[in-house]
Amino acid sequence: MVKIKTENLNLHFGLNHVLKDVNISINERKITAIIGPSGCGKSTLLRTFNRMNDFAADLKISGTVHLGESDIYEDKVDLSRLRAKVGMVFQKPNPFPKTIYQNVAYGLVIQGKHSRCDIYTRVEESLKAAWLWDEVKDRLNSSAMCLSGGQQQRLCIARALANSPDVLLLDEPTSALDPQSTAKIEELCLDLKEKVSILIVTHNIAQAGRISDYTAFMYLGELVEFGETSQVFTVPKDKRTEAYLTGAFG
Amino acid sequence: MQEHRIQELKAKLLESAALIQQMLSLAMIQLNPKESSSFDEVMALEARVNELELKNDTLAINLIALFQPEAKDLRRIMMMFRINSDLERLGDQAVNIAESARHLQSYELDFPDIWQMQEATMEMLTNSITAFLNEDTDAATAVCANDNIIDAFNRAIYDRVLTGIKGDSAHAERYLHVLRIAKNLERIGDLATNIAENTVYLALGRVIKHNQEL
Repeated sequence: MVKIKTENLNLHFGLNHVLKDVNISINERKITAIIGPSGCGKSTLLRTFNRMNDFAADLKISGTVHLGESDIYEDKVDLSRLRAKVGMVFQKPNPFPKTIYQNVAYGLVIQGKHSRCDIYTRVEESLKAAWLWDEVKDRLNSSAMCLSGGQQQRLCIARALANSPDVLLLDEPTSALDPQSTAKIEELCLDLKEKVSILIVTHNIAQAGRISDYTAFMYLGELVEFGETSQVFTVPKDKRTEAYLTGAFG
Repeated sequence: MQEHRIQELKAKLLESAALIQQMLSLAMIQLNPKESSSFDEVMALEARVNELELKNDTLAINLIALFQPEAKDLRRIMMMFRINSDLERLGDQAVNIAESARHLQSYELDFPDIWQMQEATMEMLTNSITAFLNEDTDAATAVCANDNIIDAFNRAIYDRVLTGIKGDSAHAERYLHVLRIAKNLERIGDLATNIAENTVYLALGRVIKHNQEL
């Protein structure tokens, strides 16, 4: 079942045409990897799915992006609600300078509609879902800044999960982490896809192969190829995909 | 994840191996005039073996493409890729035997050594598959040593066929079918040896093929 669908998506930053007629359907509860050389537009595409590009000056966007049945670029869309439903984790772990508990509770607290008991339950559930609970349960009131890089990244995932998202956007989530922490995040993604649809931008081709069900290859703002990862990695349809995967460019 | 998929590939190969053992038994049983023809069953099983070969190829290629395995994992996948190819060829040998055995079904054959050869070949094949299943290098090495027994049977049958044709040329076709069965059993012995050699490389990284250690 399709969770996110773009049609004729074009995006300009000023005169720079960053996304060119992108048509893609992201399946629900699957991991979709977006790969491609630097500057190809993969992070920009990811950011269109929760309208994070809206902050950029001179943004011009056309085409449609549907989350389920809703066009997320309609004027009436509540951006806070959209970003709760489409959580995002960035390349560099970015916990708030608050306690571990406050980091995960933050989104729920500012909504102002949850009891303290509910919030505590959701924090615990989210930390467990992010495989962090056992490591932090005895120090929930310690600063999140004291955690290791890998733990901070899982905390950011827990923070996103606390809002019960339908989709998780991961923008190079392991590029700043050591191999062990990377392996843990990858295993976590495989576990989480039972509940949420995951889109991951990665420069690590092997990572895309290991964890994704579908792979999208982008080049110069175009979606060159999109298909099942097993197909894209073994018999890509486009010569540019083949060249990228075999290291001929990028 | 990777280990889970490697085990899945191994299980599929063992499924193929079981089908091939069944094919060989059905093929040879036709030499008994009291048994009905099982040729169609052999052909049906071969279709399944061929289908599995393609699926196993895909599984192995995907494992390499998606997981970039190293060290023992790489050896296991590469050797299983080879064993998959050997298993498909074993299926072809079984079909050849089934074709010749069908021709011979209405005759009382005076070739007791073909049954002994079949028994020795089946045992060798079973042992190589069991060695692969358990990654048992001692058992695999023993399989390789037994290949000479099968070769000796093949030479003896060749001599008897030659004598038979010289003395009874009117029945040359029957003798040639016996020779074809022996030749295919001998080839099965070679393929069982390949599986055993690949098992040793898979488990230890030691090359023992062509009677040498590299």
